[in-house]
Amino acid sequence: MSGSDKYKYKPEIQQMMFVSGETNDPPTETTSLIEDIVRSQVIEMLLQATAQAARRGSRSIAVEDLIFLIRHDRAKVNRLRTYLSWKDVRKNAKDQEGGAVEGTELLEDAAAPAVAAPDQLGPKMKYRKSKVKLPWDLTNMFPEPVPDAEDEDGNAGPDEEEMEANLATLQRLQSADERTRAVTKEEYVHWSECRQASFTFRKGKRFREWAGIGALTDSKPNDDIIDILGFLTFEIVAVLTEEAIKVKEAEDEMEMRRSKRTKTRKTERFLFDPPDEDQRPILAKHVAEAFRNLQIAKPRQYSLRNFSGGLVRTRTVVI
Amino acid sequence: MLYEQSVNYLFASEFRPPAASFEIDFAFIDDEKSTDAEADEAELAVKEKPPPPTRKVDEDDYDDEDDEAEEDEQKEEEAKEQDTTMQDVETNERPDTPESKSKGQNDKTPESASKSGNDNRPDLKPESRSGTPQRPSTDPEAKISGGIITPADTPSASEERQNGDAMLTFEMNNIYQTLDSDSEHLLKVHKLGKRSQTNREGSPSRENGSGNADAHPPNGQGKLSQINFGAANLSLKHLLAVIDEKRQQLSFSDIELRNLISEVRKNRSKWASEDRVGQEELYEAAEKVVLELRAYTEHSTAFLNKVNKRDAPNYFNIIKHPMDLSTVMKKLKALQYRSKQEFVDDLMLIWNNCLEFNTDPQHYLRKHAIAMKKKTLTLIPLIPDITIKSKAEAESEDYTVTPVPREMSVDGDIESEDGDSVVGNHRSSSRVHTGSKKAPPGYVPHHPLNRREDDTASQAESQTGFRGAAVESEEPVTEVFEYEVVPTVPETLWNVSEKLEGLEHEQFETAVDLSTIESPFVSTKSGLTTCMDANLAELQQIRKVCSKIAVIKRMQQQAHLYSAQLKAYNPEPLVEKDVDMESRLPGHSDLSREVAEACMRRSVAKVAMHTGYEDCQMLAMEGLTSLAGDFMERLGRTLCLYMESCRGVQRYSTEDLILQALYENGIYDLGGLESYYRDDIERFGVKLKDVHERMNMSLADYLRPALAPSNNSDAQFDDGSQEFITGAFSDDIGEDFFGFKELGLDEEFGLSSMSVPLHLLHSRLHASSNVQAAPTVQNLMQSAPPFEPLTMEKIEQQIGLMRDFFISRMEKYEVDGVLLEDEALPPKQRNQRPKLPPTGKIAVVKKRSSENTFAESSKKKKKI
Repeated sequence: MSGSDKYKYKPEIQQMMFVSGETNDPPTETTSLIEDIVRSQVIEMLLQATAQAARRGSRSIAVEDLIFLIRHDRAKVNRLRTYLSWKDVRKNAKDQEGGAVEGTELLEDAAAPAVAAPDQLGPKMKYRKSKVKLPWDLTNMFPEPVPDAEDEDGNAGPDEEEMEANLATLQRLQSADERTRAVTKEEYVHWSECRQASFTFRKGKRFREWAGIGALTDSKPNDDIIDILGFLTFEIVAVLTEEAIKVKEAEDEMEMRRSKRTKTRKTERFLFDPPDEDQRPILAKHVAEAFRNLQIAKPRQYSLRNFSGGLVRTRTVVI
Repeated sequence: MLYEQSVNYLFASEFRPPAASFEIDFAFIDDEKSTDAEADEAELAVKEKPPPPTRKVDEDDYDDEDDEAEEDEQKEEEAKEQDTTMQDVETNERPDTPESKSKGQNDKTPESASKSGNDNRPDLKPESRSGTPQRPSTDPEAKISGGIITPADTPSASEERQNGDAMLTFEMNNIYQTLDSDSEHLLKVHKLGKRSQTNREGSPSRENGSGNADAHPPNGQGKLSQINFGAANLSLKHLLAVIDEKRQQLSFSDIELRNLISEVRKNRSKWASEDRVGQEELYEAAEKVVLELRAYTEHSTAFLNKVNKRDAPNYFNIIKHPMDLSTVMKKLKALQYRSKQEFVDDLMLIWNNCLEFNTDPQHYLRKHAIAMKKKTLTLIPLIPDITIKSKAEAESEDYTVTPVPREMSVDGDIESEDGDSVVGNHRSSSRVHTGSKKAPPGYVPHHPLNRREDDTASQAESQTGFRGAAVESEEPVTEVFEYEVVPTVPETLWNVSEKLEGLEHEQFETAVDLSTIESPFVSTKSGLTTCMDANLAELQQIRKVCSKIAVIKRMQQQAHLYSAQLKAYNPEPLVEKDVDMESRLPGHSDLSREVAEACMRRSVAKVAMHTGYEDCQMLAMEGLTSLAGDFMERLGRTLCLYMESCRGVQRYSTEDLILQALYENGIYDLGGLESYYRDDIERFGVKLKDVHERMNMSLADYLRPALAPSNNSDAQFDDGSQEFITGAFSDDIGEDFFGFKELGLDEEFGLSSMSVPLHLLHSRLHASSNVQAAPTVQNLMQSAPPFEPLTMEKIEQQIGLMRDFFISRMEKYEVDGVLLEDEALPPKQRNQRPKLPPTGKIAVVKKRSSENTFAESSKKKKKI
């Protein structure tokens, strides 16, 4: 298998990195490394989810099993839930309206839902309520099902969790807004296209093959799982990119300080200096360092062994 | 007169010990009688006693002695004593007279009686039985005694006679001494061991000087016999009696005899030990006390044996030093007590353990314990305050030896069969007496124990010739002493017990106080606790609503509901229980592992409940608790490590230390803690409130029809009988027939009546309507007209074939001229249909007939 065959997601990864803050075109090594990382993460997630499902007594992975893996990252969980509920809305809307243009819907998703017309709002809100319920939710704590808040008023709407999710989303949107404020129309189109990049969207089969899902799980995971994985892979790339950027900045700063010490003059910049040519893209080493940072065993993992010693087994951290 | 008084005094002083011993006996014997009663009695006795010089005292003594002796249940001894008396009588050849004589003489004896009187008094007691009636005729007997006994060489015949009488009485007394105060005598003997040798040897000369040469041997014999008797077990008694009797024929001196006998007698008691000075007395008394307590069956049963762990599983958590009577006895036997204090401490430990363990003031065992404690307190003073020492020690510390042993030996004698309390150390103690001899008389009365010492001392003095001054000064005092002895003992007892009771009360009070004091084991009512408590309460409320909804749902689905199913979820408000009282008692460490674990468990349980568990297994809780404990321990150790290691190099601030310790134990930053509080507690509370609201709404939805009375009207039913379906009758009954009130539904939703809300009856109404539907369908067709009853006239109209049959039937079943048929027949006469057995197969015989007929009829039908 050639290298080009092995890495199938270079454009997607580049797009995702671009959306996540990497302005330059990352080299192939970087994207390849990221792809490897993402794949290993996907495999890890699938394995853990399968184990979780087995513990539950089920052979097929359910949505909850996947979400359980990232349960500690509340914001991510909430984003995922929002994503899933909106996906549901989209699907239902598609069924109702006999199919709509996906692009607009995606845009709608990215933008605020308030854009939707009032007549559309009705059914949409209704579908939206059928959001993913997690077994460890408060509402499952009681023997009787807790009715949804929607019964009361139409927009009992976003509860605190959604607010939280929205907060993170809004921050991302805000940063995206910052970045796209000055861009031209073409650039913005490119930007919005980049935002749609996904490992799984419309390439479910490719994704399965790429991740070797068939070999990992007994039963074929349903589309929901794939969608979630698509969402999570995007998150992984985003997190990695952000972390790698941080690493690179730190490195640049160190570099700059060292160069300042040796030859201060060169680093000084003036008004009419040409644009900084040596702004380099994220390199594979940055990504590797970022991944290492993310995989560092946290004290929480070994704190139970304090004062008693012994080998602490750690598993790959799901980013 | 002085002389007489001195005699009296001596007499009294001699007398006292038995009285004391008697009192003690009494205390031992009479469990029921309180010390007060004893005191009263004693006082009574005192009142009686003083007026007559010596005689009456004797009489009193008699009475007392009789009582006590009898009460003492030492019947055997008595019997034996009577034997001995018989012997004595035989030897003396004087059955009753000598006693009475002696009494009479005692009255009159000015000086020589001093000795004989001393010996007499105790001895007289037994004679009282026979002697008292003869008392009036004492005077005439004097001559007899004179004639019989003494050579009467003395200048004054009366004195001689008295001496002779004294000797006689003395001998008699000897016999009886065993009854009471052997110990007294023993003590005396031993104390005076050396002294008496000198003194007695001196005293005879004195007495001889006074004119009675023969008085000496009786005196010596008296002492000897006293000693012997003091040592006495019964076997020795006879020997002693004989020796006394033949005394005059013996060539041995008193001392020799005494030594001989004391050697014979040595180690008679099982506690006796040459090496351990004072052990015998202490252990005799202690054993007596233990036996006495053990015999106090009314209250003692619970304390006889060790507390069984099975009976009280947590007993040994609370009571660190269990104790019981059998253990005390074991320790006694193992000679583990070295002093009275140790012994008393152990006894008190039993009762205090009980009081400590059973903190409930109403607990029945407390009463027992308190009763036992009181009893113990009455008994404690009877134990001599001895610290056992090795012989060498004791001899080196002669002066520290307290005079108490005498008293103790009194106790011991009463109890032990051997009745031997003589130990080698008494000799040394006698030295003490010589030392204390010159103690001022004023010092004496305050200390009952010393008193006797002084008495003996004064006695010795009187014997040695100090008498004059000593007697003069002490004469009034002695009388007071004599009678004070009795009341003082209980008094001290009372004081002690009062003090102890006060202590106990104090302890109890502190326990009560503890309950109001904020315990360090209850989490404070602030911060996280309040939030969590509120959340927990909210949780309970939600669960309550859930239970209501569940009940309603079940009502809709099931035709029959049992009250058990309608059980309402009524959670008790959570109250943090403090550590139990026992653990908070003084003497229980705050930091004991059990207490800490219990507290941790409580907190862990709270957190677990907060996360949504309704119940959990104890094992799981233990696991969580130990994990939490481990975590806290690690945190503490980490912090400690940082504090110690960082100090030298660079001083970190406290915050840094804490943060670092937290980090090392898995808490990255304070943000984590804060978000925990924010998300898991605060927001959780908000969510809970939201859920509660929603649950209430849904409950209201379930009940909505009932809330609107218009929907609820019975007008929907055309039939009044329907109220039994709706349950409206429960209004009439006025009872909470369906348990709605119990569920709290009526209050919450203002149910107008106690009938079942109609919407709940949906399923049942549906069912009933189905049932009703079926008959209406049938009613669509007209029911066939009823058959006309057959009468004789109608039979006439039947065909001839049937006529005979009908007529025969008429004969059988006719009632009021009408033939009863089929259903109209009384049940027993009906034609019984074949019943299908459970197998569904009809028995062969019946089968044929019924099948045939049925088949035929069906065939006919088919044909039709």
